[in-house]
Amino acid sequence: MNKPDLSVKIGNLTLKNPVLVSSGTFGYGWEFSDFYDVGMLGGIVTKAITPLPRPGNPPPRTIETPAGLLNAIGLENCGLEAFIKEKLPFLGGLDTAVIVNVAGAGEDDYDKVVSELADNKDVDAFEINISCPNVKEGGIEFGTSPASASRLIGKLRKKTKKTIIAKLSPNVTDPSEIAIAVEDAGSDAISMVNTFRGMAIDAETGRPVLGNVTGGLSGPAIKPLALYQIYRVSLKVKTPIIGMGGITSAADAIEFVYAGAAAVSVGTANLVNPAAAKEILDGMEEYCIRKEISNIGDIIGKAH
Amino acid sequence: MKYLKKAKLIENTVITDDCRRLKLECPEIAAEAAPGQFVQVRTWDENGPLLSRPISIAGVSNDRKHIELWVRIVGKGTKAICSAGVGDEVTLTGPLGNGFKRPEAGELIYTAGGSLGAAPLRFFAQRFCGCGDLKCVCGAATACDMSIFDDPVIKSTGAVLTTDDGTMGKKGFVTDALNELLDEKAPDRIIACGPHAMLKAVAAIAAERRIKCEVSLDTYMSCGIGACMGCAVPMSAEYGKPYAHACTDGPVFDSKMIDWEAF
Ligand SMILES: Cc1cc2nc3c(=O)[nH]c(=O)nc-3n(C[C@H](O)[C@H](O)[C@H](O)COP(=O)(O)OP(=O)(O)OC[C@H]3O[C@@H](n4cnc5c(N)ncnc54)[C@H](O)[C@@H]3O)c2cc1C
Ligand SMILES: Cc1cc2nc3c(=O)[nH]c(=O)nc-3n(C[C@H](O)[C@H](O)[C@H](O)COP(=O)(O)O)c2cc1C
Ligand code: FES
Repeated sequence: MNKPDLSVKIGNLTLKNPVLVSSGTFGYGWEFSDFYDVGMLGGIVTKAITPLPRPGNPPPRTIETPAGLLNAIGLENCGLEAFIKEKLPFLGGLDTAVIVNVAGAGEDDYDKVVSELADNKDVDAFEINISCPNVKEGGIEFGTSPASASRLIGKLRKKTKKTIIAKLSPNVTDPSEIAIAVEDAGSDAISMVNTFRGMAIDAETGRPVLGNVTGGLSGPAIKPLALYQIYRVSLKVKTPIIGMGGITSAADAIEFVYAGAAAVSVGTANLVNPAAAKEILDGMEEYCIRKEISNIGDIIGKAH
Repeated sequence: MKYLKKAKLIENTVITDDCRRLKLECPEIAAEAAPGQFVQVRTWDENGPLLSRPISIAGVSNDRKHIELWVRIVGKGTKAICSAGVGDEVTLTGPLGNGFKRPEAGELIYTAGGSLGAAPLRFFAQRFCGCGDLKCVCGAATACDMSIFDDPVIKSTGAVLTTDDGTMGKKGFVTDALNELLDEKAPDRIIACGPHAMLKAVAAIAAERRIKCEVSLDTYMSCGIGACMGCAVPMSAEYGKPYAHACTDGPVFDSKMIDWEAF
């Protein structure tokens, strides 16, 4: 069989393959460039960018839990100006889609980052983070109310022709409501899931382990939860879904496609094995060849 | 350059009930490793723990083909690592982080190692013996932990050995023996690695005596390569930023840059 067609279209952006790497788990790309050519990926999603630098939360910021990772980084990032000067040139030089994850305390913060980068040739898309569980200003208030999510996405839609992806929180009763709201407001795609709120307590001291007390759970532990949310939301919206949550193998990634994801994103697995995303991409291609799937698009949502 | 390699386990030696000395074949990492750097270690697939575990490089063979790791079993990750058999493949990422500053000619350096914290200091002594003038102090809680220091490199430094309970070597903490050395003569630099409380005490001694001091920190890490921002260390005002990252800015830091109150 010929090489399968793995390309997917998200808004006006064509990804050469469906494997992205998730915000906050891949630095700004170069951190992984000793291990493989990161330009082979479908796209790289940056750590959340805010207008000004953010110091992040007090340590400890991460703790492993069974099959999972709890984190409360607190959106530590270098800020918009340093991002453009120091991080973006490397990303722009790669043959892969550059997706900037945007976070902020209020609408103005999101507006500032998107407006500033709206015409930047090195940026291909924006992932609007309305789902960070770890800081009060992480956009979670936008992510839990359909009305404010819709207003924010509507406002940003006017600022850029680039692809807009709304990143949804799983910490709601029904993510479909938010998904429909952001789709109606002009979002080209939806990415889900961000981390599930959780915490760890040390039995010896009786105290919370994380400096921030609560954190967000990621990794294999959340995979079934994420699959279900994507399965459900994909019935309700037409825009493509970028699926993530515990993907560690090509088989995991394929399961997300069957559940309804047009593309997949590898997060915590990058922290465990720096070559994880490459191995997953290679494995997806092998899977398509073995199953004689000529176009990955043919199996999206086929578990329904 | 950082490498991601499957390394063959060549030796797995029992040092104490809960400590093992591992020798791994990994020429790429061995060739570039510097004292104070570490590797991320994994011996499991999806059925084991999740994250790789950071372990200091304790030495490199003369032919630069093998690295040595000293590991204490404290949980499921270190237990799995120490259970690896000779011939097994161990996944390593490294060498990672910034090590100790190279000694200058004639520089007098005191090293203070608490328990397995002696591992990166042993690599320092191995690499730089002859470059500077080294005086070493190694401390353990009790006699049965002393076999950690029963090592040709550590012995060759003529290290002063202490136990907290006096069951072997000098009775007292590493810091007591360090203070005795300091009373005799002030060095150009102190380098230290060990439990948090010990490092804090060494940093305080160095600050009081106005001696330059480098400490190698043990923090929670996830990626070890600067991607997750998980390994934050609170820094003093002088550093210019509220947090540094142990895996890329450290694990070796100038002790006066650390905000010990917050850490
Ligand atoms: C740069 C660096 C170098 C290191 N070098 C060595 C070395 O040479 N030899 C060695 O034996 N160990 C070393 N460590 C510590 C080692 O990484 C941890 O002991 C290990 O990750 C624990 O994993 P585990 O699964 O066995 O324990 P877990 O099951 O994860 O934890 C067991 C217990 O240890 C505590 N713990 C876990 N990780 C850490 C940590 N990083 N710091 C403090 N407490 C922790 C947990 O809170 C828990 O109480 C180093 C750590 C760092 C950051
Ligand atoms: C250490 C860490 C940092 C993260 N930072 C961000 C972030 O800045 N912005 C964001 O939208 N999501 C962030 N996430 C969430 C991930 O992008 C992803 O949605 C989540 O981890 C689920 O996928 P996974 O299980 O494959 O990791 C972070 C996750 C982790 C583990
Ligand atoms: S451990 Fe991930 S940035 Fe240091």
